[in-house]
Amino acid sequence: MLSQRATPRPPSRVPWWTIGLFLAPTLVFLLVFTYLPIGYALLEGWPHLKEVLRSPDTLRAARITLLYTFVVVPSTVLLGLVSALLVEGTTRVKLFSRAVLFHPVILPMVAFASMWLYFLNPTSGPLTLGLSALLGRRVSPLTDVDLTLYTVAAVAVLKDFGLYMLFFLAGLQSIPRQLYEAALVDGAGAWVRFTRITLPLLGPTLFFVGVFATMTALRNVDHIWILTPQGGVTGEAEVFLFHIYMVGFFYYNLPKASALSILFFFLFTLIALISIPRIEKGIYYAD
Amino acid sequence: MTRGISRRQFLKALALAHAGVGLGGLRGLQARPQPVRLDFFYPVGVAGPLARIIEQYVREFNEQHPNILVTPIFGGTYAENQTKVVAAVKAGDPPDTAILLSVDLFTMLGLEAIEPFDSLLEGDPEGQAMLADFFPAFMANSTFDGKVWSIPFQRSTPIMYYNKEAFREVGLDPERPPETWDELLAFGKKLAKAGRRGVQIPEETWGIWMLEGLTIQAGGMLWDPAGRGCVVKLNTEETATAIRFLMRLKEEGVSPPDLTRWRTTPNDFATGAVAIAYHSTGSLGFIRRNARFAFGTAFQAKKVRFGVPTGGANFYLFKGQAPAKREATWTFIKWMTTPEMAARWSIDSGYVATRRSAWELPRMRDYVAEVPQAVTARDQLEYAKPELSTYNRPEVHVAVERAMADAILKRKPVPQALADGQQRIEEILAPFCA
Repeated sequence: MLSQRATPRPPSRVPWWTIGLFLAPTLVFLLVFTYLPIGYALLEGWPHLKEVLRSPDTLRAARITLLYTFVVVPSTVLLGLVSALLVEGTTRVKLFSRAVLFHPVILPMVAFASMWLYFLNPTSGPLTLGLSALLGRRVSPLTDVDLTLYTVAAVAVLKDFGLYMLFFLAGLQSIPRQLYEAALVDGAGAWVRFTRITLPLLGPTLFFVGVFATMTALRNVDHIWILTPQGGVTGEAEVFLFHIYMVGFFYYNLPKASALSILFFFLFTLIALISIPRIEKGIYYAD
Repeated sequence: MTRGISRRQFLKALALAHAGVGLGGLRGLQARPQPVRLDFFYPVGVAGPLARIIEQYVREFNEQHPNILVTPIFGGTYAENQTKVVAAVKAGDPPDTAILLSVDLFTMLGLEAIEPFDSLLEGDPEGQAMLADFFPAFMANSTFDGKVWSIPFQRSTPIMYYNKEAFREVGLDPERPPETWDELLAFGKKLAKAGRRGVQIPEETWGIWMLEGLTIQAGGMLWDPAGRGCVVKLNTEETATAIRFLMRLKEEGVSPPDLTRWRTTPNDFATGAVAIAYHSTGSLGFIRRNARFAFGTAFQAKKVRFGVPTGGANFYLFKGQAPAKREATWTFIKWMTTPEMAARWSIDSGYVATRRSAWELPRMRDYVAEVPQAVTARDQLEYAKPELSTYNRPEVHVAVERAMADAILKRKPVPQALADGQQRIEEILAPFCA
């Protein structure tokens, strides 16, 4: 088996400066826009870590982020799964629906959010007006303080679930047909087939999508920026990253923003370290 | 394919073209000295095609001053523009001048970003005459420690807009707007009906500006102008009175039950969804173009006295500017603020013409004859107070509005919301003021 693989060219034959030359364009940008800022943030932020930990604003931002994530992740994953089950197949209607559902994924988030900004405009948005007429009182999903967070969450869900649908479609393709046939012979109904075959075998996909969706939810702020001027009328949608931006570039407090970034990085890593092995335990990998 | 030019011919032509451009540039260099290049950052704070108007002004300035070349750089909203300016200053490459909120004097001082105009004003009688010609109310936020830190440009005050046809419809005299808070409430009750609110006073985005006005009208002040950028007085009886009045308007069904929006209010008024609105005089242009009914403007109503804060933005100078550029920058700022330009900018935008002599110009007289609503903001200046200006102003601003929202949305009792907000503000100011 091994002998069939092409042996890689030993690295010693390539002069170091060639390697450097080819790496340079990427390296320069990484250095200037990633590595140096990380170093800067560590130096600037470290002394302010305690202050930031004690700040009620930090706690508030963390709470909002958690709520946002708990709303967005399950809805995106569920919607992705359901739509994948619905559009699996090759009929023309299914192919067309697939394209429609996937479409938001290829749009830039800023464009997608701007479109919703029009629909949700507090005075003239068709959605706002329609909803208000339906309920018989003035409702503005974007600016009513109790609704803002859920509205921006919904926009994020609509933007992203198409991508997960694609992953689930790929996952569904990889499930062997014989299993379903055997189940049919045994007289298993649709629900049993789904819970006993589809869902367990989608495990790896589900896991991957779940982790990916969580990361996206924690990182996405573009649409919040477009849809709400300051994270909501009174900051209801000021998720952690948004809070860091506000502190750094609206209040011009870069040291504090750096400290928040460090905190965010550690929390992020901690969540990953604790949750990923635990979730992965319950997953069945074929092969 | 043979009819097309060959690759070699094409490259030759390209090279020649480049050489031509290069030589042309050289010739231009010989003909006259290189102009002083200036970068000028500006924001647009209200609706409308104002960026186009600013670019036009700069084009005219450049045509009239062959030895200066100003590059206008549109920075977005006030906040976005200021972020760009601060980033440029921190990076050691400050703009030559920028338009920033007059109330961000201390914010910019805290960032060690700006320089005063005094060295330029010294021995410049023309410049000193200019300062004396500005309405004193507009200069109030510009001076600190005996120095002049900014030159007024796009200035405003909040005013009252009222729908004369709605007044007539409910039997009110359309030439007699409400003068007191009690009247505002009573008139508002009469005017409110299905599909129309009585009164709208914005409570977010620039809600702080409205709160300042109401506090002044109640006999207080939201901050201490003599406090060196360190004193905010949110937790006072007058501020509580102001907030309770806003809540009363809601309880009586005169104002919308949720927080009143800053951005949508001009549109709500222009479409007749509300009969009386408080907003910036800068929205006059928008309302004039869009309202299909006769409307009036008036002073904001008084509790114990008339009064509003001033508002708007000024020209600033930045640290680290090359000395050769400073004179040219001064020439540009003076040109942009002449009485003629002040009148033009006022007519084009709706902002108040900043110089007293501007109002004597034929152009301005004609405008006032056509749009009598435009004089309200100017006359109200007599009762105006300087707008809240502190260190770290953007964060203080957010803290005040969140305290307001806590009270108005009844998340906390009024005194509790104000006390908490006050404590928050003290924390924000501490690094600069302790």
